[in-house]
Amino acid sequence: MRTDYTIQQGALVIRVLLDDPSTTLRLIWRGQSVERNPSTFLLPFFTQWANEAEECGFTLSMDFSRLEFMNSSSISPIIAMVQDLKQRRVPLILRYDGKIKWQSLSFAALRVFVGGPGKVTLDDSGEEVLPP
Amino acid sequence: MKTVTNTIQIPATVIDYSSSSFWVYITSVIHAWLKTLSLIGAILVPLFVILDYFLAPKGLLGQFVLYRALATGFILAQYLVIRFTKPGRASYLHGYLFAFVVGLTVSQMTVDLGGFNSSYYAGLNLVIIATNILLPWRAIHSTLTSLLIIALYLLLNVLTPQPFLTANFINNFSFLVVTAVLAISINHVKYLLLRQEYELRAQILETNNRLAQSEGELKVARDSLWGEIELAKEIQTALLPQDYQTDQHQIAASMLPASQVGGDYFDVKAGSDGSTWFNIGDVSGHGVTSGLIMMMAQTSIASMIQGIDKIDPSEVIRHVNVVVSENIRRLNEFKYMTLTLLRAKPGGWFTYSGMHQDLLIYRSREAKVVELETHGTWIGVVSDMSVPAALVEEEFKLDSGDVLLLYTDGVTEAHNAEGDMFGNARLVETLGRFGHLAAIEIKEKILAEVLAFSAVQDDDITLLVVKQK
Repeated sequence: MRTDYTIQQGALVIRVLLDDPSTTLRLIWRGQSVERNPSTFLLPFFTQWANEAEECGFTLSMDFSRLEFMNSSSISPIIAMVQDLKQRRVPLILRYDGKIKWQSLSFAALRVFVGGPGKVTLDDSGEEVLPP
Repeated sequence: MKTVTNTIQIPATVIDYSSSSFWVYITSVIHAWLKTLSLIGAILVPLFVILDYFLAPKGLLGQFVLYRALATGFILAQYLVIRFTKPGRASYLHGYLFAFVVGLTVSQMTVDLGGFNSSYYAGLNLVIIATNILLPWRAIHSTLTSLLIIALYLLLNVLTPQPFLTANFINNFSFLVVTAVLAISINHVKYLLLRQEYELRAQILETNNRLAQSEGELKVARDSLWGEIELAKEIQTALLPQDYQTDQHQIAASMLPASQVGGDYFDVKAGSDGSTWFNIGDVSGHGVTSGLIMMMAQTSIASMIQGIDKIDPSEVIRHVNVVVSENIRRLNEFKYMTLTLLRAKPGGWFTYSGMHQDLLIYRSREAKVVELETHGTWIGVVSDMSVPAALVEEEFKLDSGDVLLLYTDGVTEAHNAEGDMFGNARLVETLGRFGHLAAIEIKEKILAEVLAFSAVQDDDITLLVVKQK
């Protein structure tokens, strides 16, 4: 099974990628997330793919390392999604570039979700994991 | 704020559309058109004397002029009565009277001209058409007036029998009947169309009334909300510390609110044990909810700082998180708050906890800026901060002349027309340039640089400068 499509909302582009035999559903963020109320479209989007990941036993990976910028309003739905996935026990990997100041400031606070029930991993290496 | 009116324009007429009764409406239409019918009758009935001059025998001309004069006089009198009375049941009577008087006049002329052989019956077709096409009454009335006119023609000629050709009679009668049928049909369709028009107009009027009412309610709500937003902004800025000088520190601060109510927070507070607290934070997003959450946090922090001696910043953070997380959950909003609390201790030592932007410290001896990361997590992310990595307490020391700079992301994320952000690096460089100045000058210089850089301010800009004496 292969999934590869892109959604766009304003300056934000998210590529949804799943390649056989991989069991990791990847959401790769590009552009900028600067909408005033991004929860309105991000939350349904996250729910859709969280459901898919849970149903199929996939790991969900969100890659922000090449995202140019994200406002504080965009982080709120991401936090909600992390809380939801942790509760559902769906493995989640958050990739970002710790060398980029705004990314470090935005994602370091989510280290509280690492450990405990539900498998949340933070990868701040900034290395882009390219599709095979 | 631009106001858009969405009412539908209905042309002004003398017709009463406001009544909820269709009968009242149609009667007012009939009454209005009776005037027109009377005027047409008052003009055409005497005008047809020209026809009489050419077609009628000379001996009958004077008689016909008399008939027409009497009919015209009646019609004119009828016009005046209609003109100065209101619509009502009498309006229908006037229609019948018109048909009777003019129909009688023409029917009598056919008797004088030879009965059923006379072609003057054609005038009765005109009376049937004029009466029933101009007056938008129900089919029953157009049927009765048509029958009245035909009956008058038949009756008068039957009562004064004269020789006639059957073919002529059949011809005349057929045309009268067909004219009546056509006139009744057209009148009936017209009546139905008018009924439809009335109902549509009534719907439009009702919609307009509801629109006007909604518009009024919206305006009230908008004005009320606008007033509340302005009030919230005033409260937000009114809660800022007004006087913040201590023996140990030069302090300068400012918060420039954006156009919307924001969630920036800063405070300089004396603890119950005489310590000084420097606090900074930022609620995500904008709007009244962000402002409310900020105020909840401020109140909660102040109550702990001023209520408990020697309390650690991490304890205050833990407590604030419990209170604010619960309230955010009740508001059913996706919000969080960055927050760092610093407690100044004697000798230039600071203990701090909570995650916000990096702390920038200008070291006066080296004339260099160092960046201290804040650790932990934000308010509202987890309900219980006993989880690992949620709460970290750290400390640093300021020597005499050193400067601590606290700020919100409205500073580092201010962007110019090209979309470039002011950024951490630029802020570090700016503090490095002006760190040797007094606190108030440092604050003013940094603020000037940020404002000169940014194209438009779309977030609160908060700066708190603490210089160790």
